[in-house]
This record gives sequence, C-alpha cells and structure tokens, in this order.
Amino acid sequence: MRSLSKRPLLLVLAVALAQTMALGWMVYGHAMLIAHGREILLDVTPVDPRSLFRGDYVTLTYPAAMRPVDDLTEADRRAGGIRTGYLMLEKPAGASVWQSVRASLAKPTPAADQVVIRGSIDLSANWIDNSQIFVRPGIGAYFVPEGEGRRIERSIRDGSVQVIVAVDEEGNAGIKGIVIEGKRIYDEPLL
Amino acid sequence: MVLYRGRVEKDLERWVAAGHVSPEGARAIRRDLAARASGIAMPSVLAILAAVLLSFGAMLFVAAHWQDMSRLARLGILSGGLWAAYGLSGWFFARQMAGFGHAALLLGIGLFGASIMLVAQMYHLDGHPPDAVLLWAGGAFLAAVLLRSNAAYAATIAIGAVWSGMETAMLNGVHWWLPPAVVLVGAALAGTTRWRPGFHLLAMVLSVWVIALGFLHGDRHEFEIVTAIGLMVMAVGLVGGAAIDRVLALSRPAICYGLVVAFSGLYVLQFIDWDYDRLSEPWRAANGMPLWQLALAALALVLGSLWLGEHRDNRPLVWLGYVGFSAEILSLYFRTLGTLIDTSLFFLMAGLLVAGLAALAYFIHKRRSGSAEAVS
Repeated sequence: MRSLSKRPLLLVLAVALAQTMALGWMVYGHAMLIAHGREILLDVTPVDPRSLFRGDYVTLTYPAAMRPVDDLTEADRRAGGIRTGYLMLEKPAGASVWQSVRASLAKPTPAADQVVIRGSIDLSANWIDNSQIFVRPGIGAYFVPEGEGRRIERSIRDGSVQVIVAVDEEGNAGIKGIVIEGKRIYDEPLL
Repeated sequence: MVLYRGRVEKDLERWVAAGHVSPEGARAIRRDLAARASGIAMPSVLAILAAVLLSFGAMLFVAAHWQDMSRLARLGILSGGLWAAYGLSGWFFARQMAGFGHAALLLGIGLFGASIMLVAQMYHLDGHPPDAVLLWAGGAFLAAVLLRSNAAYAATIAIGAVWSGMETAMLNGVHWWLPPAVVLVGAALAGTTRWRPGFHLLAMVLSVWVIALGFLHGDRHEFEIVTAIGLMVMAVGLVGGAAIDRVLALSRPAICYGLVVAFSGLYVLQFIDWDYDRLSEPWRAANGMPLWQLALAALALVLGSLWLGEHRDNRPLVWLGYVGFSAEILSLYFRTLGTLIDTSLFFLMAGLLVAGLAALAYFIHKRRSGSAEAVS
C-alpha cells in the first residue's frame, strides 16, 4: 500500500469535516422544516415492517395520497417511470384533518388555506392501468424503538390515528408527531 | 504471494537441477522473495476486520433505537466516534503505521454511514432511501481519494453496489447511473493507488450490471445484448490490448470478464430465459433461435477462449474456459435437444469436432516447436 501522503492528519480531518458538514446539513434542513413548516393533520393506515438499516418502523399510508387517475392529463400519464409529483391539500371548514384536492406533475400554487406536498408518482405501466394514482410523499415511515411497532399498530387498529406533518414552501414534508384518539402521543423533538 | 512463492520454489528446484540457474542465483531469488513477502500483514488484516465489526455494531446500535439515551446524545456519540476514528487514522498515518491508519479510516466511514441512518431515523426520512446510501458512498469515496486508501476504495465500491441495487429494485428497471459511477471510481483509482483488486471489484459490479441488463431492459429478454457487450469487451481487450496495457495492465482480465458476460448471456438464452408459451416446441430459445445453434455458439466461444488463454498464457481465461465448457455440456445433457437421440448426436458430433481440433492443435504446436528448435 503506497499511500502515505504528506499531511495525512490534515487530510483525514478534511474528510471528517466534510462528512460532519453533510450530516449537519441533513439535521439542519429537517430541524428547520419541523420547526417552521406549516402544520397539518392527516389520517393514516399503518403496516409494520422492519428496515434493514434503521430498525423497526411503522409504515404509514395516507388515504389522502390516493387520487383518481383523472387528476393527470393523458400526456402526464404517458410520461412513464417514477416522476416528481405534487399533492394539493386543504382543510374542509370545521374539520381538523386535511383532505387532498388534486395530484399533479407540475407544482401548483396553493391558496392561503391550502398546502402542497411534494412526492413521487409511479407512472410505470402497472400503475397507470389502475383507476387510482398514489403520490408517495416521503413520510411513509415512522421509526420506533425495537418492539414498539406492534403496540402502536394495535392502538391504531382500535382507534383513529392521525399524523402531524410539517410542510415548507417547497413542498417538503416531515413527520412532527402522532395523534391517537385526539391526543398527541409521540411528539418529535427538534434534535 | 504465498501461492506465487510455492510455484517459484518448485520451478527453482527444477531449474537448478537442469543447470539453468546456479545454486547461488536460486538463493538470491529466495532472499528477494522473502524480502518482498511482507505484503499484507496479519495485524493490518485483523485491524480491518475489527473496523468492519465495529461499523456493523454501530449500525445495529442505530437500528435498535435505544431509548435510554436521547437521540441527540446518540448522534453526539456517533459523530464523536467519527472524529475519533479519523483522528486516530491520521495519527497512525503520521507514525508510518499505514495498515492501522487504513483500518481506522474504514471505521470512520462506517460511523459516517451509521450517522446518516440515525439522522434518517430521527426525522423519519422516507423520501428516496438510496439517496442516503449514495451520500454514504460519496463520503467513502472522498476518504479513498484524499488518503489514497485501498480499504476506503473497497468500501466505496461495496456501498456503491448497494446503492445501485436499491435503485434497481425501486425502478424495477435499468439503473443507468452505475456505469458512469464505475468509470468515475475507476479513474480515481487509476490516478491514485492503482490497486488491482479494486479494478476487479469494479469489473465484477459492472459485469453483474450488464448481465442484469438482460433481465431489466426493454422486453426483459434481451440477452443478445448481454452477449454482444461481452464479445465487444473481449474484442477490445484483444485488439487494443497493447494500447490499454501501456496505460494500465488491464487487458488480460478485461478479456476474462468479457468472456464471463458473453457466456452468461448465451447461457441464460439457452437454459434460463425460456419462452414458456412455446413449451410445446422445446427446440428454440425465447428469441426463436434453435437451441443447437446457441449451444454451438457457446461451445465455439468457450473453445476459442481456451485456445486464446493457452496461446497468450492467460491462465484465468483457461480456467474460465473449462468452467464454461463444463457448465455448457452439463446443462445441455440435462436439457436435451428435443429427443435423447438428437442430443446424443449433438454430443457425438461435437466430440468428433473437438477431437479434430485437438489433432490440429497438436500438429501446429509440433511444427512451431520444431522450427523453434531448428532456429536455436
């Protein structure tokens, strides 16, 4: 191994600094989103798998993320592959849970009482044959301590469950907490 | 290295007995080999293994989602460990203990990955999981290039392979970013340590990608493309061999990888990618070609490689040729070309043909060595 450089210590510290900055940038972005994003409440239905790297999690699917295929134009549907898509949501008067209005490939401009979430839409052949499309919003996993997943799942089966989601101007969404039967059960700290 | 020394030892005894090498010369050769034999030392190997174990331990620590410690404390521990690992690495390098330096670097890379996973867990990130793995591979690549570390290159390639595998699974299609990534890492490797096993790792990843192409591209039965790419690589290695080897001596292994890819394509066409709608007509492969034609092509490829390997003293190519030959005839034996009597006929004809080739090769060899003796 011919690998002794002149200033190895400086170089490894440069590597450590670059990697720490990458981590810090990830943390900063998401902490900002949780702290300052607009808060909305969404209904969920969960399943319980385990991620290879990140431990146990509850998979959350959002009924609001299912949209009729007619939301997209014929040309949009033919785009194929996995595309960036947007989901427009609004809160019906008197309700606490937000409902979806429309899915689209281009970013819509929301009115004051609306929010837009960015996600991905799978337009592969097997999907566009269906009458529904699904906007994957990137908030489909809630990580829990080992073994805790089943407990949450049980309480979810018994009662109604919602997720508090923070959304920023660009449409990025992050999970802020979980509400079970009207009570905030899991509240996410910023860090 | 040990294998090489054993081989030289045997040859030396023979050469000394025949008088080609003096006993004094043999001693000098043995001394030279012993001095170079240090190669990969046991302490470094163990240190590398320790770094891999510690990295997996850290990843499982993240996955366990241990609640007795706040997540900020967990992130602090991981990033503190990351700095400690890199600091230790720099300390070892400065003390000329490069083996331990590379191991500590590997640990730093592992802890970087664990930290990424922890952040993803903290914020329930579920957008596009391969991106996190790509970031990890990028961090490993940076360490590999800056520190000229082969261990870090190996980590980069392994993590990069995981990234491409995840992308492929999500796309359920061809992941076109892999070849450029392989070229990028290969160029960096060529510009820094020129570590041969690293090129082999890259070639293996690329070979798997090309073979998978047949299953993923177009109508998902495109193994003609796989075979064509393999043959092209072999041709480039043959024709441009001298030019390639002036830059980097890679043309001989390239021919081997080309053979593996080309043969794999032919093999899948013959024995795996059957058109099940046409089972009543088992003489043809899915692309409509008769099996015996494909089998003949595969045998020609394998025999050609055997000849090439012997001719150019490319031992791995010879062994791959034998493996391919065995796989081909065993699979044909079990598949059968239509009826058993047809298959029997095919084997008998192929046997006679190869026996004829053996005789031809013998006469060519005899004339060559005869004329060589006449010249000397």
